[in-house]
Amino acid sequence: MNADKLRVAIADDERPARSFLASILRTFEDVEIVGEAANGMDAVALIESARPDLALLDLQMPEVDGLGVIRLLKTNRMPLVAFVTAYDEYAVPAFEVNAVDYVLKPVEAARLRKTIDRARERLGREDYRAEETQNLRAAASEYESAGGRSPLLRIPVRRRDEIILVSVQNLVSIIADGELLHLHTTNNEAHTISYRLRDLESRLDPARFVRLGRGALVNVEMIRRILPMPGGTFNVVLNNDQELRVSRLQSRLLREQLLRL
Amino acid sequence: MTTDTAAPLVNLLGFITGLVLYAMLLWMALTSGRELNRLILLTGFLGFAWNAGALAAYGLTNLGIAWSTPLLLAGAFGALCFLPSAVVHSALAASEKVSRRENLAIWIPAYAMSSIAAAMHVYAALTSGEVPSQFALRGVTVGFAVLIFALLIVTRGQENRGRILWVVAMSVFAVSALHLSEHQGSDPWWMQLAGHHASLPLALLILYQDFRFALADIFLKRALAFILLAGLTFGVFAFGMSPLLQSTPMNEQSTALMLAMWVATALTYPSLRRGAAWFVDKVVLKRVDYAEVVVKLSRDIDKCASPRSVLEETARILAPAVSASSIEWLESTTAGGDLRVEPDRRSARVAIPTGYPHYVLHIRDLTGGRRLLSDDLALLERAALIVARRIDAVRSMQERYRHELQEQEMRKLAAEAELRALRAQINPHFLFNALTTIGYLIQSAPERALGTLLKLSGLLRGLLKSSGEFVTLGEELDIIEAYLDIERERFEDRLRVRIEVPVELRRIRIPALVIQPLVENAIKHGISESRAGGEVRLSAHLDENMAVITVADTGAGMAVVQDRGRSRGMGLSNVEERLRRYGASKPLTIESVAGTGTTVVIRVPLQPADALAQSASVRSR
Repeated sequence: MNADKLRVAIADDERPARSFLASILRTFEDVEIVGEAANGMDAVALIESARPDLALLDLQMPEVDGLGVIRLLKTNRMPLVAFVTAYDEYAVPAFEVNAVDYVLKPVEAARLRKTIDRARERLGREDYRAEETQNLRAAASEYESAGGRSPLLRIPVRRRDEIILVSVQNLVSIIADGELLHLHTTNNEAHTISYRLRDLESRLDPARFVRLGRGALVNVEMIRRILPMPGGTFNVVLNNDQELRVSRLQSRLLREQLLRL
Repeated sequence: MTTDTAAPLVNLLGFITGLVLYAMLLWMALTSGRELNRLILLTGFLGFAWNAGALAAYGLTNLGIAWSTPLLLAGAFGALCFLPSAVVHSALAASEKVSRRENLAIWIPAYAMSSIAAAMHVYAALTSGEVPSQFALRGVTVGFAVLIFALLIVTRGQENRGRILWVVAMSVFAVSALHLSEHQGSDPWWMQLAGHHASLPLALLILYQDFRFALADIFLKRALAFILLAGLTFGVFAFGMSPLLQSTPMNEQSTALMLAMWVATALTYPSLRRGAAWFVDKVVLKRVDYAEVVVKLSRDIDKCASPRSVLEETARILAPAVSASSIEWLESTTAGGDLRVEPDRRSARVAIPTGYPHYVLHIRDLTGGRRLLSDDLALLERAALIVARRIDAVRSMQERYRHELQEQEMRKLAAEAELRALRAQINPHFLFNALTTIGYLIQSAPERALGTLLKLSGLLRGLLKSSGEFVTLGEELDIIEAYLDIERERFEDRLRVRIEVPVELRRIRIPALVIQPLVENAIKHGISESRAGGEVRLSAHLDENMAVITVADTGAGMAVVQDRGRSRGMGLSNVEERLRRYGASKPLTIESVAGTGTTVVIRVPLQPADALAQSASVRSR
């Protein structure tokens, strides 16, 4: 292992694209490919185990996509990231604004060279991980609020060293707790993810998930009872016997949207 | 009453008619507005004098009123003797080629002769009381007979139709004078008619030539009806009643018979009058029937499709009806001003009361001495209204047509734009991924790279092809197969494809690009979202007059299927909308189960020709 070489990990679900990218990287003498992942979950494992300097992540991958990978990565394992995408009208502006690098497919050697050089330069800085994490989170947040990502079907959740996928159909409630979100499922499991409620809400089907207040999002199908409270607000009792207070504003919306024939 | 009384009856009627005609001529000459025509005035005066005098002398005697004096009679005959001179003078004035010398050579002797004859009548009245003077009348006859020849010679070679009339009028005078000189009182009635009333044709002639339409309007129709009635009455009495009454003495029966005759005569008057009016309009004036003109006008312009042709047709129909030498139409910037007649009543401007732009008909130079009279104006006003209504109708029709055309054009444009947009909607994501795949293949399998490249260009050509809205199912499948081949290179064994479309269905025509978006959706949401991938299955069958096409995938599936809105994606709502426009009521259904895949079914109405072909092939089976 040559210490001068830049260690790069690649993640793309399409083998030809992955191979094409790898073949270009191999022409660079100062680059070492530490591993290739065929999906997002493998990518997280690969990055955390191989600890590359730079991860080239395909933006579109099944189940856990490029942005999902960086959500799941532990902060102290965060590499420099360059996304690879064929075309995405929402992602590119979000990346540019937040100084996140990206490469367009079909990948051009010269363009990829710049990414490598840029990564090398940034690696010299002490706080590059924290900076990169911040940039990536900001870009992801901006991208999601622009509506660029497809509706979420499964929410990837880290549990120690494994990642499990929680189907949104099985979600009962999502409760915000500072930087974290607690996901409650039908089989009475609770998962915690690091995500903003607002960002998650924008990726869920609005017909299925409703806000109860600043810190709670529930699955409409899972509401068992709605209890009127003094002062005109409601409390909601869910299928898992959770009882949640509904804010004054949301009580009004609830009354108009759900409690009317 | 006997046949002997027939002659006095004729005389009475004749003199009254003459009196009326000449009174009218006088009145017309005095009020015609233009410079006073002295000859006509003179003629009118002379004719009036003769008829008044003769009526007093001959007509009224038979009714038992006898107050004629020789001097009065002399005056009447004097006037009669001057009439030919006036006629000669008029004839000379009307002809164009006569030199001044010839002119003087004829009319001076004429007036001299008339003066001498008149003087002789007066002299006879004063001396012997024997009026008229036989000698004077004979002299006048001979003299004017000579003058007729002179007149004929002078006016020879002229096209003037009136010339013959003048000569005839003169001849009648000659006969008349001869007759009056020969006879006293006991001639048969027809002789009396020809002799005593030679002045009538003259009056009619002048009125016909110079005041034709006034004559017709004011007098001729009524006079003719009256004359016809008189003739009928006379005929009945002379040939029916008189013999009857002569054979049987007066009794109640004959009185009743006579009364019945009178009543019958009175009853025939309206139809006589109508007949007279018709005769005058058709034969004398050659005037067309205005009701017919209006009917013809409205019928003919109903076929015209532009204001221009309406106006041209109107001018074509109206010009002969009012004897105008020309009718022009032009656009006018000002509205209203309906009908303006020039002072000479020979031309007029008729405004067509239509919306902007307005039109005006210029009626120019009426021929045949015709003037625009009240019924002409009524006709023109009515015609203007009809034309305006038609023009407005034509305009609104054109407007509607233009609108429809525009709408059609816009609909067509919209459909085209939509299709163009759809075609331009080559998913860039797909395109760049395909290029990436080709990039990979160039390194690892150059031959497959070339194949994929050719498929991609074929696909692009198919998508961009600007031929019509419809393609055959086969053509659409070619595009889809090329598309799937490329995607297969990209997803490798994650994508499996099964296409099950019977060969005979490949001929049916479907709207372009209604299946391709479904396949693209299946790849995008089904295959690429699934780690394991899946199968895309395309099948088609017929259901009555619908082609039912199913695109199913065994990919990721969609958690939520909303009937409307975003989850269907752009492609699907566009497909659904287009199919609905071709007459499918529920053209698209989606079934999707998360984890097991999505099935989309579209129902495409068969095009009429296809439906026919299909039903034929079913029958032949």
